[in-house]
Amino acid sequence: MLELCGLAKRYGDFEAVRDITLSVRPGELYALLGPNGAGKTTTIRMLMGVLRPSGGSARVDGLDCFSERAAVMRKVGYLPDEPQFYDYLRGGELLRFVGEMHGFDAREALERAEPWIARLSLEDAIDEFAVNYSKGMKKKLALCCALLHEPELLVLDEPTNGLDPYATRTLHEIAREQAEAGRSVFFTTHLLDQAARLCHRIGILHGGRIAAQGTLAELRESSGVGAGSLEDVFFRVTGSRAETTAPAGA
Amino acid sequence: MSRSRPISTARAVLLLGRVGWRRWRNRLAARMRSRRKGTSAARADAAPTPARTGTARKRAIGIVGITVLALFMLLAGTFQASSGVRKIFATGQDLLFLRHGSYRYATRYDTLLGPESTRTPMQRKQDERALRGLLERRVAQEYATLDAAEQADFVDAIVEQLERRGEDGFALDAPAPFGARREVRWSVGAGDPDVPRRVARVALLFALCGLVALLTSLGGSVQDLGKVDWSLEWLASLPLSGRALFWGKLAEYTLVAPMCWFVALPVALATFLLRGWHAAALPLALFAAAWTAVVAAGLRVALETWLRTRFSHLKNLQAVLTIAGSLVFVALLWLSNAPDLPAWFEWLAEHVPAAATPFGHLAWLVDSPGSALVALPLLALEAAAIAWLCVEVAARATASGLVFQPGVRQGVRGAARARAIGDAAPSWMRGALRKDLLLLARDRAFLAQTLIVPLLVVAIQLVVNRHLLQLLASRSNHAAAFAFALGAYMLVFSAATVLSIEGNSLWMLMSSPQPLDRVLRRKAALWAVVGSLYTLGGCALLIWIGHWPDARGWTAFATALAGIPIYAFIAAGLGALATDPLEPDPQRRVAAPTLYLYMAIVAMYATSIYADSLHVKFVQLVLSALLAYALWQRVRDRIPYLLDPTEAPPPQLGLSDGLLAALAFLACNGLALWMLGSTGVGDGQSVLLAFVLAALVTTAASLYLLYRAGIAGLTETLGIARRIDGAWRVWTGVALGVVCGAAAALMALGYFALLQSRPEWARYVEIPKHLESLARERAVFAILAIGVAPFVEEYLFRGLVFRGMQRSIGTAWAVIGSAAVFASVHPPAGAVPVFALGVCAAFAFQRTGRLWSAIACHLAYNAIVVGMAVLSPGADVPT
Repeated sequence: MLELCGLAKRYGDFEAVRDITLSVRPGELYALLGPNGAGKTTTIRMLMGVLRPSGGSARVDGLDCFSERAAVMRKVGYLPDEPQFYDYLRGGELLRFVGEMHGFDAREALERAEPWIARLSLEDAIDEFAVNYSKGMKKKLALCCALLHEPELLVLDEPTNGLDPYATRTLHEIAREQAEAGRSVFFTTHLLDQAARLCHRIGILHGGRIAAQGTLAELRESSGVGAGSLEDVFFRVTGSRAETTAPAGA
Repeated sequence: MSRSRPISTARAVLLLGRVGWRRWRNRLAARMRSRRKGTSAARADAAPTPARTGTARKRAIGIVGITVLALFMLLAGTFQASSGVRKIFATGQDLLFLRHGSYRYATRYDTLLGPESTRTPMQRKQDERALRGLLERRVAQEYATLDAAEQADFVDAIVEQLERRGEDGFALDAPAPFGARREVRWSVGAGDPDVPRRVARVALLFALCGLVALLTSLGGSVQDLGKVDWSLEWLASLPLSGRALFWGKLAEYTLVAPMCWFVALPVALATFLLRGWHAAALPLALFAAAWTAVVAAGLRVALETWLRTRFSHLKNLQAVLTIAGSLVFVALLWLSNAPDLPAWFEWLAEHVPAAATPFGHLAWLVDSPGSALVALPLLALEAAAIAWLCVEVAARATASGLVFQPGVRQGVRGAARARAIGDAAPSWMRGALRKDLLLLARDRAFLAQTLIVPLLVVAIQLVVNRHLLQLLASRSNHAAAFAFALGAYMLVFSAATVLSIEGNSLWMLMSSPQPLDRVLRRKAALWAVVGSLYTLGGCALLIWIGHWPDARGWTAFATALAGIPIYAFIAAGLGALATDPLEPDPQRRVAAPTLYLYMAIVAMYATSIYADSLHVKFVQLVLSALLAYALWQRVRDRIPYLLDPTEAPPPQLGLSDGLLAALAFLACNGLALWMLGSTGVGDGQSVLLAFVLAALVTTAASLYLLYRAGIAGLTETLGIARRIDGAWRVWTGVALGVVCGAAAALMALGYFALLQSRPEWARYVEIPKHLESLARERAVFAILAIGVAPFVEEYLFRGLVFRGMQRSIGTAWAVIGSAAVFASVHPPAGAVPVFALGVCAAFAFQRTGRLWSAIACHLAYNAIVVGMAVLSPGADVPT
């Protein structure tokens, strides 16, 4: 579904991301972990086609994310970390707008959105201007927008950041359901527990490179932490604080 | 154990006021600095600059600079204001003699005609006649609106006044040093009935100044008035009482009150100077301005705090207040620029008890020195009382908390969905277009910015330039050009912002499966419609004021109207290219120089409205449409890279390159002709020389620039490389070209034969004068047509324009499009055969991949057609 092949991005002399190769298969949940500044958002922006890779390629279903952005977006649903909305548009109108941009008419857009609105408990806010939403509400609305067209690939940037416990649980359920329905989910997070519980495979980004990737079992094996948690793996792989945490995993 | 120590309210107020003033000063300085540095500022961020040195000196220079600027603005403002104040002081007959023109002639004839003159009645009669002649001409010139009888009465009144009272009977209107000898007298003696009237007018003037200050300060803040300023919320976390906070706000608003210091102060200074307060005028004016600032600040604190407790969204109210403030400001400008005291001002002064309003109390200072002395302490007390009251109101209003923003309101289940689905919108009004229309309907600030501000700016021009409207309405050309300018100007505020207005929400469009350029073009189409309505409105207004246009007038109006949709797309394309979506400051998101470029192109189109020849209008229209198309080609290239801070689209040959080269050729040609014209070279020779010079310069420069741009496969694309994959060999290519050219020439000869057999058709094709004269010098003409033109024209129109079009509209349309452009820049007589030639040359070029083939085609065509013309005398065949 998603293929990143030798992906790299340079800003002048600074190499934000180097040689990232990973793939997400249909029906798979893939989490990208990494410390702040590791290049997670740059990677996501490249696969959303707003940044041009300096090297390598990002493909969704065989389509190049940069040169065929519009076609790729038909297959992708995107939840940004901090979604910003137009002033003076209500939640429902934004959903309608997104639906119309995906080629649905107003009624169909709202019919598609309704189950998601109900599930994310947005009914009471849908008639309110979206700029006045709290961060969590904005995120829920953006999630509705992302799910509206039943995307084959969901791209979630720190999805539970700012969500309440109810919404977090719902989001986890939705992610699992999407995977069970044969769609792919690609997300970044700082919550190691979440990644460990939810994902089929995990990639750890460090200093702009994939430092390790695979299932949790594979990661444990490759990093040599034995039966340790994902946290142990993470600290071992990213190195900086490995010494202090090593005893717990050893 | 906390070490925090309590501070007094006065100290808190001082600190807060100082912080506010520093913020304002730094913002002003940053704006001045960024304007000077321009784009290099962005680069400076990348490479860290060495640590700054000599800060103290820089600050001193800054303070001197700001002081000089402030003094200059005070002086200029006072001059401007004095013209209004003179009219306010004048009553009855005085008004008539304020006019600059009449005053000048009165001073000149004062010693001859005044009451003290010793000249004989005979001489006086003569002088009077001379004066009348001068005045009549002057009056007829200046007051086109008066009819002949009124003009004669006016002249009579001036002469009579001069004979009765001499120069003393006249007051001066034009900006003059203050306290000039001929000012309007405040009072002619005790019990002068005009004095109360003057006081009422001065009160109204001060009230208007205060109103401007209050309205603009309430409406002017960047953020929503309904939300508590983040800084206030932050300050509230400091150990200060609510009252101290509001006193601090009041101090800040008093110090940072541009309208008080740049409008109220000059007006007060002019008033007190003309009133005759001499040296006391400046301190009094400073007092009046500070007084206005304190009262306006107090009212602002109370009003905004109170409004916040009631409403959470005040952006719309803010927009209304800003517009109201601007209107009052325009009224003040009107007052100082009108020839006489405007009727509305007189009416308001009589019917509105302005002296009773807070700002109007300042009029107590003008009545007499005694009353001013009494009024000063009273006014000071009053200001303190108003400030105290306002702070008290604000403190009471926030007794139960500083922030009133409700969270998410509870909606009603079910109703939401019904509303959001809304009515079934027509299919064209969906997606981005519907979104923009909704925003326009709801966001008054957006509405004001796009639809009202341009009108307001134009209205100010009309008010300041009082004869402009009459002049515009008097001729259809002027009217059409004005209407076009109105629409085009409105597009600067609307169409040019199609991309920048998306702001931080651009991610929504970028993650939707629509090509962004298509979305932007649909938005541009919306503004094309709105802009056309503006132009239509402008046309209608000026036709209504002026007269019914003739056929030529209608053509001018039609040209204006036809231009607007094209210029909507040009504005949108230029705006999209000049927008940096990554720039956080919305005001700097669109690069301003690009908008000046847009206005320059608009001006070029406007000249075609004045052109008599239909062909000129047509060419301008075609070139503009082409430019719009070329811009959008560039926009399409750039859009994928919009949010990428480092990458740029790979250089490609675009239609814009061809257009620029063609324009550069025309400009060079014109310049060379003009230069050769003055050196006395013969007519035909100078045409030839200019053409060759322009061709050499343009070709060399454009090839060099395209090569420097690093376009991949440039020479192959242009068909001038030695080896081109899949191209014909040069000589076979040339052979095909000759065949194509001959075919086109045969068609051309047939067409001309047909034209000559039908004289009633020939009427429609006008042959330009310079070509006629050129055709007389046959040798020169032949060299030009066969030796020079084919090379440069093929390079421009096939190499650049055709290839540039081909990239985005496909070969077939590019063949037709480039031929159409080629035909449109030729004289209309040859348009049809030249179009055929364009098609044939493009065909030969595309088929063989060699520019030589197209050149051969053009050469063959010119050789046959010109050869026939040269051989058969009397036939004018332009190429």
